[in-house]
Amino acid sequence: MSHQEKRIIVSLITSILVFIFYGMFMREMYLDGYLSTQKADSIVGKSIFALILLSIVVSVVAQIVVSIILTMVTGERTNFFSDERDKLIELKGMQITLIAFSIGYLGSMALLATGTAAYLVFILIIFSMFIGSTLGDIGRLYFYRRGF
Amino acid sequence: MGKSKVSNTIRRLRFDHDEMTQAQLAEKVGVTRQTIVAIEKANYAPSLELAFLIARAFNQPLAEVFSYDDD
Repeated sequence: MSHQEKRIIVSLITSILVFIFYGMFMREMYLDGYLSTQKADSIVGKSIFALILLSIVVSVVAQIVVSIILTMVTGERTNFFSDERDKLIELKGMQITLIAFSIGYLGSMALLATGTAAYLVFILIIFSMFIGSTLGDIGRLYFYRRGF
Repeated sequence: MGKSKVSNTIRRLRFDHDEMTQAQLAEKVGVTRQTIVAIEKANYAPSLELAFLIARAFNQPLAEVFSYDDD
């Protein structure tokens, strides 16, 4: 398995873990009744900022930790070099992410238009981002496994 | 599997050049070994620049290394 594939797997696992954590946090908020108050939109807005920060930090830390562990176990230094095929696969993954996110975003806007609560629509947009990023990672893994 | 229409003779050329490894060729042309593997298996059609670099690594004209299969 190439370094790129390992990096994608780490990214996939961290985004799933972060989203599970976010989902549990929002569930607690919902059960405690915070999302039925007037402050619901503000809470969701703050939680989105926290989610973005958390996912960046967790992702960077996880990549560094995994690189160190792999270097210690295999003795090979992690190669961050990417060539033309890596860049094309990256673009294809990005395309999948954007298509999935756009579908989710349009669906969320349709729900907003039919009177769904704004905080729920924001959560759906975040969910679309997660699904888009996950599908993009899976797509990249598929292209690496296939060769291109 | 999405096979490319661009086929090549890299495997034979590597053998003819003192059994050059995929890693050695990759280092010579500045790509990863996985990219050389994908090109050799005709899963990936390289850019024109990379194709020229590979041909130059074997001191061969481009047409000796790569060909386009029309069928």
